[in-house]
Amino acid sequence: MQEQELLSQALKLDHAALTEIYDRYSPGIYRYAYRLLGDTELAEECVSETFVRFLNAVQKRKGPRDYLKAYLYRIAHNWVTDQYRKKNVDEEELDEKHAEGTANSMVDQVLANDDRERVRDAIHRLTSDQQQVIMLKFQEDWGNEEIAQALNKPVGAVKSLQNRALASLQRILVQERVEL
Amino acid sequence: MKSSDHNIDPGLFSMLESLRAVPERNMQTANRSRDKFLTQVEKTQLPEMKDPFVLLREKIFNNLNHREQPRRYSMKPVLILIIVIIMLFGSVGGVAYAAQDSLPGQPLYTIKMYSEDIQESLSADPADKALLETSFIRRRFLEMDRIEQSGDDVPQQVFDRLDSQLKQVYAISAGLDDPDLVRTLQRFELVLTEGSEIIAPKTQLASRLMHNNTFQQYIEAQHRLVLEGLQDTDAYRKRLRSGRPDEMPAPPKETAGDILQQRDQLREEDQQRDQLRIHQTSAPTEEPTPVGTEEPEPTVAPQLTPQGQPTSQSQQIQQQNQEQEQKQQRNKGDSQQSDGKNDGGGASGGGSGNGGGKP
Repeated sequence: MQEQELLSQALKLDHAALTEIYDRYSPGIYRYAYRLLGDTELAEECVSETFVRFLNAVQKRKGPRDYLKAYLYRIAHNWVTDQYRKKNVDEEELDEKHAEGTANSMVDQVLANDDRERVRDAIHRLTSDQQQVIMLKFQEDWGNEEIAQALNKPVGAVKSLQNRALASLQRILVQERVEL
Repeated sequence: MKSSDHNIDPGLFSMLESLRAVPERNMQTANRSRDKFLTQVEKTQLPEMKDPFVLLREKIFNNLNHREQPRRYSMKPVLILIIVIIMLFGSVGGVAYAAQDSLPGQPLYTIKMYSEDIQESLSADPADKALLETSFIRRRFLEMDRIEQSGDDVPQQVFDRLDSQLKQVYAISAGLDDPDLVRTLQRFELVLTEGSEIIAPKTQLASRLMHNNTFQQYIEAQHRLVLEGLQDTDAYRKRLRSGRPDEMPAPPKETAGDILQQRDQLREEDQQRDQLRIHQTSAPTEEPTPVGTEEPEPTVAPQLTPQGQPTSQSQQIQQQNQEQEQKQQRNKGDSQQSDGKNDGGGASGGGSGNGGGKP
């Protein structure tokens, strides 16, 4: 079923359509949230919260009329941003809890997690639009048009947002390296 | 995806790539979330859609019922809003316009403040709002200038309003994208420059803002912050998010140690100046100033209040020190002049001027 058709069925609270939407988009939203938060439990909570908000919007007849995927990622991103502000996770605990990847030794794992946390932190210091461009483009492999739909901006604006975001990100990471 | 596809720095690209790895999802938790969602779907029902004609008929009918049972003071919010809008854009608009030139203490000044608040709340775009606040800050400076010119003291109300509007600009600008932020900061910088130029010394030395800093110090601190923002927008945002803009420099405490330190500093500066003059007088192309005609420049111009009094204890001491230094220099000059006469016109004499050094 095409996205638009799925959406029009979902807006009528069609059970099958809503199940299909959940199964189709929840894995991607989980990955998106994890990459930004680095926490599996929070990522799972993000999935849950995103679909509950979507359902509430449908129930109030305020759901999206098009671009369902973009809409869901926008909800997820807003939730992640709120969560990141509130989050005050002890980094060591986080490292021990979620050490993973290809590193062999414990020390390598901790260092790799430190790097990832630094990149996440740098991304969170960008503006909300810049964050979304970076994540959707370089983590989710979306095209510019799809990102433009998610941000409700023209494609040209997305390109310039991307350039500014990359420049800012580089500056932040270089600055942090110098401070270290 | 490769870094070359996007003209992205390979180092940055690899750092971003490091985020791609996502641990395997716990299927038990995932299934639980899915079941929870589907249970909620089962429970959710769409609100009943009514025919628009039926809705309209119900509304009219309800209104008629209300007429039968009139309630006192039951003006609906919409009606109140309409009246407010009519008032705002009608006769009140004229009053608000007239209030724009009012000063604190005048009856229309309150209206001026309200009209600013309304304008601010009506402005939806954050960038526009920041620029609007900046223009209000400029108004505060102009008000201060006019109050100064009339010979009165600037009321605390104006300082407080200015302070809250500055904070508002910072709060809004922290959320702006780079082009809007730079535009806002450029405008803000202009306003601060203009403000610091037009404010008279009396107000500049008023210590009624931010940890008893003088107004001048307060504005300088804002200026520095804005200039830093123009140089590095990210650092500016970071600083605002960390709440540091409120941390103004500590007030200058005039302890005995500080005063002595200032005096030593002044002496050092004078000595440096003397050495420079020695160097200049030894050069053959320059004509030394005749003794007695030269007046040594004060190192720091003492700031006086309109009553002609030194502004603070430290400045009084500075002034006394300068007078002492001047006397010492004159005495020194006189003794050197006499030495020069004895030597028959040596060019290497120290002091501020040496008539014997003339080629």
